[in-house]
Amino acid sequence: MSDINVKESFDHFSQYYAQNAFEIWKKLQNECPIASSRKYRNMWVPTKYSDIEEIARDTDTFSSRSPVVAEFGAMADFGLQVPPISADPPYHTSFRRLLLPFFAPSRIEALKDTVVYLANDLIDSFIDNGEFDAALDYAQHIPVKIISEMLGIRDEDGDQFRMWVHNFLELAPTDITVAATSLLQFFEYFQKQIEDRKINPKDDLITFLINAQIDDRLLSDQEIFGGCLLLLLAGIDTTWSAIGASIWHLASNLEDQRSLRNDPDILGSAIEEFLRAFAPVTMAREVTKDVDFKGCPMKKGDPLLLPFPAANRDPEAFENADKIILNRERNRHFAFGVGIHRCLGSNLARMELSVAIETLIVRLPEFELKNPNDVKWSVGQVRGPRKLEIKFKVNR
Amino acid sequence: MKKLLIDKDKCQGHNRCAAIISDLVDIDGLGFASVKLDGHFDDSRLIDVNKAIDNCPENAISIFVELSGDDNV
Repeated sequence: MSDINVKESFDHFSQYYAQNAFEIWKKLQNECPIASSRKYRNMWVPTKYSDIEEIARDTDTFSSRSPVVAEFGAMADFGLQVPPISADPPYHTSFRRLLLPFFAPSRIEALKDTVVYLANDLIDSFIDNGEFDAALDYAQHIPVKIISEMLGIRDEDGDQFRMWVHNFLELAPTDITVAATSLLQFFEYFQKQIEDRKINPKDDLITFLINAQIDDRLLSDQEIFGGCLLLLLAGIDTTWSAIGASIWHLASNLEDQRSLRNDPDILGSAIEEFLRAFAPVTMAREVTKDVDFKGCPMKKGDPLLLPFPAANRDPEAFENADKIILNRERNRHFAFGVGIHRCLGSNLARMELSVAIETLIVRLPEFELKNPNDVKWSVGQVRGPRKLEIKFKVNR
Repeated sequence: MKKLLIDKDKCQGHNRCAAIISDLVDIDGLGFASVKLDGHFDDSRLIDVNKAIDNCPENAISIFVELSGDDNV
């Protein structure tokens, strides 16, 4: 730990961070609650719950225009918008209200049967094998299928989506060539989809965005692209990560797995605890004016990471913050953020996560990690297992 | 009597309260919560109401304790 200076050279794209995030947040909370990084254009990294909350709520000082911190420059300066996550009030408010009905609890409930069917179908494909990769054979397929359905896009393009999301979130922020190429491919693909919906409208988000109005005007093509890109970026790797991390915990903590099997009523609070302890998403802000924040001289334009997963493990905000307590009573976690940018898809994500975990527990006998030292975690602002081999006994 | 209060300016639609005290809250078409009817609840619901308070990330939920008629002279 001591050989890498995470206080002044914080790097969310390093393998070191991917493998040691919990320890790094803890060290920073104790020794340097607001870290920094010259590599990412003087980026600031608060790790305490109270600081993260204060920053998330202060939308005047901390803009959302660049929600991903790239090495080479601010996302917004490249003309890339993914509203409402990349917007500030009042535009944010209008755009968000437009999308909210799409993600309201009633609308999400209607998708549940599809997720149940899909989870069972995926389990059928490996239940006789006694092993599977929970990240690759199970978790990742659920959000891809649902997002494709919401966008009205064929399942066959799921692999393409996964590749773009991987490129955007894990490679593009440190590689401008990948960023440009992936964006071009994405625009080309969605241009065709948008043209198609203009002629053949469907009951999907693309058609909805084409016809939607903000402040008495239709959306620009830029905004329609942005809405589609947001759904891909925010709806796939995030849920994939949450499902995978929860399975990782259950596979490496058999006591907890047994508790969940013996007492299915704790599923609801267990899901919240997994969301708290393994929150996948770190968001970002941009400082709008020179400001002294808790003794840190922040300058206009500095990027700032908001590691919600670190806030969720702050001992000042949670009792036994390091411990997974499946029936935790008090759990004001920030897995979906806090304030006006609360994750639009939180109802969807919770539903997918609950169904994925419940179905796995019901269908499989006790399962465990095949090799605890061979689990791979993603880099960047969405954290979750990308290789997670599981074994279990086959009943013949 | 105890009364449930939800601050509409603070609610961001996390829907945690709806999972814990669905009998006491309404969720509108955008996902925001409001108090069902006049918000009065029985003491038997106090544990769950407190749990909803402890799980709201926006701190939008509180309890208003009304003085009884006798105290109100």
